[in-house]
Amino acid sequence: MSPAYGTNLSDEKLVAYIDGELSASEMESVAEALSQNTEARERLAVLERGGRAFGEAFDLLLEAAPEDKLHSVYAELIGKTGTAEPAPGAGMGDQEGNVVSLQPRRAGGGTPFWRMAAAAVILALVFAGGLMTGGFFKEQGQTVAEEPGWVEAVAGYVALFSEATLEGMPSDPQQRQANLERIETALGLPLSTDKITAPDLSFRGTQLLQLKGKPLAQISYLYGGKTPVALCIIRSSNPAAAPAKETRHGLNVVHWVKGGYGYMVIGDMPDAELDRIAQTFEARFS
Amino acid sequence: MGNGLRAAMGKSDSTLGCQEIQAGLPSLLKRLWRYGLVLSGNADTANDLVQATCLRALEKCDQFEPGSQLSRWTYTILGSIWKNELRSRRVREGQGFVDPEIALVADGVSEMDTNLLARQVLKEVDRLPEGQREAVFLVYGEGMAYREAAEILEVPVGTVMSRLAAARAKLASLKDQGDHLLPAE
Repeated sequence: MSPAYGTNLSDEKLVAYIDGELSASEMESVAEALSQNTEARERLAVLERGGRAFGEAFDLLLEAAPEDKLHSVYAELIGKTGTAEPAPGAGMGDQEGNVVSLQPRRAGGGTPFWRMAAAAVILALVFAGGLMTGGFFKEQGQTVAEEPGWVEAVAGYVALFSEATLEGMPSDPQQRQANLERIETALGLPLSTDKITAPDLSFRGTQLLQLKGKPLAQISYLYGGKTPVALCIIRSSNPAAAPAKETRHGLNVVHWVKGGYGYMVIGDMPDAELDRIAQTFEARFS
Repeated sequence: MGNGLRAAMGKSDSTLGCQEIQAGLPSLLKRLWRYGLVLSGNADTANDLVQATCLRALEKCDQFEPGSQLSRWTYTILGSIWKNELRSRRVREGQGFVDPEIALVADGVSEMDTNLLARQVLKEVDRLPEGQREAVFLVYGEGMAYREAAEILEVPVGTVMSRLAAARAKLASLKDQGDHLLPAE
């Protein structure tokens, strides 16, 4: 609409006036023109009626976002940056034709990987549609067969940890070593400092717990200097299960079963970081 | 960011911009999804758009200027993927972004009353043409200045203004028509 109402007040200008998008002098001149023109004031009132509580309305959509899914998709993308490189023909068109599924490989692929992955995803979007699945993480809901309840039990416990909790752990190297050997013996699993350290995690100590009579080792770290993170290990007679992720007690958890042991990495840290750490440990214990 | 991220990006890509993107994207996922939903009207397509946008952002991370607004940059990418690559083949196949599946699941039954007005607003916005809907979302939903919205939409500021004016005129007429639009559910 472009009526002038005998003034220069277009709808555009009036809306910009309502939104405070004009310069101070323009605001003033519009206000002046409005004061002298009834028709323009009426038009202003109409456009004001066209306003809504947009912010609250759009917030509803934010709440509807499938947060977990988005984060796990992103984690998967990021997980591939360091470990994947383009494999000729790999990953295009599998997974029901939906999405790239590059198998993790060693050593870093750069731009070619991204070009290929991006192209594959666009193709998939155009021709197939639907959601992506697969890769390093299982979808939630595909339950991993492992010690029943141990994820919940550990999460409930670790949720109580704070930076101060870990400060109370012994820092003496000899005592740390002795504690490490204790859990080694209890689990029957060879552990060494090399195996249980990871980049970005500051090692704080080990504890031997028990769940339903089974020894449960908890290896504690601080992430970013203040966030407690734990690697937990329990003996398990269940078949191997690929890493799965979920959120419990407000903590992100990745857990898997491998070689007769159940493993879990848990902490209140960004998904992508936790995923990366989980992959590190997953590769270490065979 | 820490060594982990640097390592994750690989040496050749470990520019500041790339690190910033990798660290910043997680906190933008929900907002990107919302923008995708406003554009496409379909939750699955919104998921796909987020995924494609993240990939594209990572791919082009060397073009990102560290310290600039990552949200704007990624919105531009998402909008261009939608317009150039997806829209023509998936012409709002969805039911609109206030499909009960989305709005109601998000609300929870007990909150339905308090959210009634907000959902009504969404329904009205959903009926606007895409250009207007998008301008309303960026300016009134995301709180962007006209200029910022214009940059993301890659149109002149005047176009943003005229889209907003048209949207307001349309919404005003809906209000003038009374309450017949209030949902019967």
